[in-house]
Amino acid sequence: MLLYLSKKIKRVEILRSYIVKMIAAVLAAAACILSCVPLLPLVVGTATGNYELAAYLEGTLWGEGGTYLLLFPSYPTLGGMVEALFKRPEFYVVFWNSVKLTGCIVLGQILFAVPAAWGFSRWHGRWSSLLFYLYTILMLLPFQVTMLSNYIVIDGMGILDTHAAVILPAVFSTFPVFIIYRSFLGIPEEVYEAFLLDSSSHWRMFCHVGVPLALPGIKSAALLGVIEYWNMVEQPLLFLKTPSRWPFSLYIPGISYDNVQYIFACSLIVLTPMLLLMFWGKDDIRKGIGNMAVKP
Amino acid sequence: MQLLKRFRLSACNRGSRALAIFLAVMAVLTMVSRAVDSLLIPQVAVCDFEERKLEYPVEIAGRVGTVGKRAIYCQDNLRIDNVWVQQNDTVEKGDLLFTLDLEFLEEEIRRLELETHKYDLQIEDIENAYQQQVSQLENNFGGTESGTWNSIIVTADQGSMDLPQSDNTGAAKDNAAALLQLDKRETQLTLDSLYALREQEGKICAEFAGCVLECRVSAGSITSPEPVMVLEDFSQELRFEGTVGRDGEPHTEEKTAGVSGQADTEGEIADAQKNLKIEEGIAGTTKNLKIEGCIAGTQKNLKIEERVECTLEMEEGGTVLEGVAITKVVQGEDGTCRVVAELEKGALQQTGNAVLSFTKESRKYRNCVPLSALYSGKTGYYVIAVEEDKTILGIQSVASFVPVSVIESNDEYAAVEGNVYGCSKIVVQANKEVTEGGRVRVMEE
Repeated sequence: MLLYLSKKIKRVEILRSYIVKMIAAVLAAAACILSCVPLLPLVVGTATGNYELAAYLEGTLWGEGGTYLLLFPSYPTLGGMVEALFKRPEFYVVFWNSVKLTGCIVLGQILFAVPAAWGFSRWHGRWSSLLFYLYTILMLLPFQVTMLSNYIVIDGMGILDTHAAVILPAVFSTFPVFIIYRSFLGIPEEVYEAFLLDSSSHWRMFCHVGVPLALPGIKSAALLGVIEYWNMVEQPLLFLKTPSRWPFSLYIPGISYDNVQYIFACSLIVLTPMLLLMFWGKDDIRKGIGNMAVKP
Repeated sequence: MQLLKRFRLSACNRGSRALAIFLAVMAVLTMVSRAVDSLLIPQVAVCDFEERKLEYPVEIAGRVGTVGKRAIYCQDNLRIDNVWVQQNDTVEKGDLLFTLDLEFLEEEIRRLELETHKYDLQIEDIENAYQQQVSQLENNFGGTESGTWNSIIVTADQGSMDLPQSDNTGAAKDNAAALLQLDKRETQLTLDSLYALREQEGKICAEFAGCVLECRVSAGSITSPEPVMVLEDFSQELRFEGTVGRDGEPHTEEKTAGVSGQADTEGEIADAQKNLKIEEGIAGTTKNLKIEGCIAGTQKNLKIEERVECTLEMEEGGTVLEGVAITKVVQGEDGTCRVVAELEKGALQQTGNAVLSFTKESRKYRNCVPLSALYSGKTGYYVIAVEEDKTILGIQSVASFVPVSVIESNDEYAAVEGNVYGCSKIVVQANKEVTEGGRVRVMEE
C-alpha cells in the first residue's frame, strides 16, 4: 500500500513538474513573441508604400490622429528598399560612418581595456581595490552626467565635430574593463603559478595565459560594445554637427510622410548586422556575462 | 603565434564570416548606389547674374523711294502695242517704255486728217453762205454801199430799216467759223503729235532715269488722258518710309513693310508677347513654366526717336547703308507710326523694299539673367540658384528657388530684382527636373 502511494505521489510530482515546465515554456514563448513585436511593423513597413504607411502612422508623423499597427500591406512594394539600396547614397554614408565609429571604438576598447583589466586583476597592492572601486563608479555615471565635461575637454582638444570626438571618450569606457577584469579573475591562480615555473615574464603570461583564457570575456565585451555603440545617439548628437559625419542613428529619425518606407528599409538594413552578431555570438555574450558573476 | 592562431580561429567563426559578407555586399552596393545617383541627379548648366543693358533690335520694313514722282502721258485714244517695263523696274533715260500700234496710229492720223479736211469744208461752206447773203442784201437795198458789215448797220440805224436778220446772220457766221477754226486747230495739234509719234515709230522712251512705280496700261489697251505710267525720278532725293503698326503687324500702304516689334500710340515698341514659348514641368507640387521669349509688360523705353542712327538694307541686291538717321516719326490717327529717313543724295542708286534696323538699349541693370533661367510658378517668377550646402553626402550643390520680380526683358534677357544678392550661380539648363532643395550636378564647361 505504501509502495503504491509512493508511486502515486511520484507520478503526481512528475505531472506537476511537467505542467510547471509547460507553463514556463508558454510564458517564455509569449515573452519572446512580445519582445519581437517591434520587429513586425519594421518588416511590414519595409514592404508598404509611403501613402499607406502615412495613413497608418498619422499620429506619429503629424502628431494628430492615431497610430495603428499594420499587419499586411494592401499593395506590397519594395520601393523603399530599392531606394535605400540603390538610389540614395546618403544611406551608405551614414552606414559607413556607423561602421567606422563602432569599429574604431570597439577596437580601441579592446586595445586599452584588456591591459587595463589585466593590470587591475594582477595588481594586489594596498590601494588596488579602492582604485578599481573608483574606476567602476565612472561606469555607473550616465552619459548625461559626463556630457558637459566631455564636451569641454573635446573642445579644448580641438577635435569637436570630428569622429575622434565620439571615438576617444568611448575608447576609454570602463564597462569593457569591468567585464574583462572579471574574466581575468575567473582564471585560477594555480594556472599563473604553473606558468611562472616556466617563465618569469609577465608579458608572456599576459599573452599566453591571460588573454587566451579570458577570450570569452573579451569577445563578450567586444560584442556588447558593438551593440551599444552601433545604436549610440547622444554622443554624435552632441559632438557632430556636420551631417556628412553623422551615423545612421541621427539620420533615421528624419522621418516624414514621403520617406516612411525608406526609413523602414534603412532601419531593417542596419538591424541586419546586429541580428547576425546576436545569432552567432550569443554564446560568447552569455559566457562573458556569466564571468561577471564569478567572485574574486 | 599561438595567440594569433587562436584569434584567427575565433575570427573564422560563422558570425564573423556572415558579418564580413554583409559588409562586403554593402560596399558593393555603395558603389552601385553612387553610380545610380550620378545618373539620376540633374545635371545643370549655370551662369552668373550679369550687369548689362537690355538690347531691343528693331527692324522696320518699308520702302526706299524718291521724294517726288513724275507721270508719263501719251496721246489718248491710241492702242498700246507692247509694254516693255513693269512695276518696280528701274529705267535709264532713253529706255523704251512702251510702243504704240502703228496701224492704229496711221488710222488715227488718217481720221484726224479727214476731220481737218472736214473742218476746212465746213468753214468754206459758211464763208460761201455768208457771201450769198451779203449779195442778196445788196441787191435788196440797191444804193446801199456794199462791202462792209458796219456800213449796213449804220445804214440800218439811220433809216430805221428792219435789218435784224442780216445782223444775226453775220455774227453767227463769225462764231461758227471761229469755232470750227479752233476745232481744226486742236485737231491739227493732235495730228502733229501723232505725226511725231509716227516719226518715232510709235516708241515712247523714258526722259529721265527712274523706277516704274505704276504702270496703268497693258498691251492692247487704249490710252486715255490719265498718266500711262508713274516713275520715280532718280535725280531727286531718296528717302525711306516705313510704318510700324500698333498691333505689331506689318503696316505699310504697300502692305510690304513690317517690324519685328510692336508700337503703341506713342511710337513705342509695345509690350510684346510674341515668341512667348512656355514649357511646363512639374517640380514637387509646383507647376513651373519655363519662359522663352520676351515677357509681356516688361519692355520699357522703346520709343522710336528721331536722329537715331540705323542701318538700311535693300531687299534686292543686299545693299547695306550704315548711319542712316531717322528724320521724322509721325504718329498716325489709327495708332500706327510712320518712320521716315532721308538719304543723302547719291548714297543709293536704287529704290525698292528695304529694312531699316537699329538697336535700342535700356538702362544698365545689375542683375540680368537669360530668359532660359527664368521660371514662372504660382507665386510668380523665380530663378533657380545653385548653392553649396552641407548635406549627408558632404558639401553639395543644391537648388534653391529664389523669387524675383522682372523689371524689364527682351527676347533674350530679363532684368530681375529680389533676394538674389547671395546667389552667384543660377540654372539655365537642366537635363532633368530640378526640385527645391534637391541636389544638382553642375556641368563642367
